[in-house]
Amino acid sequence: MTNILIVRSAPIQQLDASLSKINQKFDSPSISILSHKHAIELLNKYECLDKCITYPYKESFDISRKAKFDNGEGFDHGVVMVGNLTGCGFQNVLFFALTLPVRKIWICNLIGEVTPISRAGIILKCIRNQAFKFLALLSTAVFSVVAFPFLFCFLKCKSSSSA
Amino acid sequence: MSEPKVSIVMLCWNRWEDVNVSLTRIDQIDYSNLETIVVDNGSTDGSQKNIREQFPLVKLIEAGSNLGIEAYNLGFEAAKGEFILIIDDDSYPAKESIERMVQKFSENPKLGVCAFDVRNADDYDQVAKTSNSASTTQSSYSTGFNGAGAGVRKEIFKKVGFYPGEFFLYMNEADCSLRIRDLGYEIRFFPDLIAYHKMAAKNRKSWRAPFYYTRNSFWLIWKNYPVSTALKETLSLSFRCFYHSMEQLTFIYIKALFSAFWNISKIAGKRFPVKEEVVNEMRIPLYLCFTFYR
Repeated sequence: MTNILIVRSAPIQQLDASLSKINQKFDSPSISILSHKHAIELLNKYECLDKCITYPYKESFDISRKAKFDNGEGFDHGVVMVGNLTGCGFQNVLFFALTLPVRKIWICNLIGEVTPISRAGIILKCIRNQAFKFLALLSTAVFSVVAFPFLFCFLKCKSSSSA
Repeated sequence: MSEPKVSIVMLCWNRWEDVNVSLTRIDQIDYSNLETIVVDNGSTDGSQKNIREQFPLVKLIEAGSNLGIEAYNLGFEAAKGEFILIIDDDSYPAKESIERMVQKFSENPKLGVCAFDVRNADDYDQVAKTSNSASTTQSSYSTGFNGAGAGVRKEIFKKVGFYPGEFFLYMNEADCSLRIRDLGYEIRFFPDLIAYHKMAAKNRKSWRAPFYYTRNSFWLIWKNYPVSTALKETLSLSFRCFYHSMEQLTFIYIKALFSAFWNISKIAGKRFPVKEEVVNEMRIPLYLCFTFYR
């Protein structure tokens, strides 16, 4: 039987709709799910989930914060859930997915379309995004010089008046 | 002794079909001391007339125009219940959830909000086990609540000023959550409290969600965070606005960033910084706004 690992990076309500499509796509696989702790109890109610694995951090999925798996545990497919159509804005989760013990990575979008994404594709996007990050850093620096003194005054003034 | 009064408060704006489904479901709830309030945000699809004719027991408040989430506050003010159940115009609670919610509030006087398990109305019962179990494990952080299904103590909710009307849409629950936690009340998820919510079948490509969500994330920070944390988070959020604008080929995040600063007067007098530990303990999805556009 194929075993898959779902990364729950979208609302549980979306999972309700996507599970049947994931089941169809992978022909009734054994499903494990990786999720933040606050959702584990809710996920335990799903009969079709064989195992719920807790992501041991409060913060978002990130390549620097790896998930913990049992020794030798591995999966045929890793399915990253994205809350939109294209996966834009989920680069951190896709990058994180590179650290998972899965043979192939897929995206499951808002409408339940399950499409493969190659590791090289993820890495190339990350490299492209580094250029954007550099430009964003410059833009933020310029913007901050203008806007932050004003913001600082607003925050300070309102803090002291409300204290 | 009679059961404590519960007020269900719902907002409505040109979605009569969904409202009809929700009110029909609410009609089937057999909790004895229940009132339902619908605040209409100036619908033009005949919702008001239909509600009056088909649900005469429902208290209808007409806001007159689209006030966004501020209209909820009219309903909250009018609510006579000790507890308020907040729902969307396309959500409704499971039959037994009201009684369970009241029991949870009665058992724990420090409980300020019962966050419901908000599920997809179409698919949920097919994929999940029915559960009568109470919450057994809690994470070490709080996640706030979802306005499509949440029970609140009216007294506490009033103390925090209900929803922040200036937000218009989105992040209002997070704003209230911070203030409720700052007062020392708990916000807890209960898997046996279920609300059904209609999920959009397709991506609504719209500027509204990313714009309001992003702008309000700034305002949420500026209203509630201590100075140093507010500056740090503003820096991080500003960076992401520029970055995701390039990544997604849109100006919507930059527009929201500038709008937050340009209209900062709308939150003047509303800054009441919460304790640093409250910010640290809450899991506020500030960056979720960057996943809405495409």
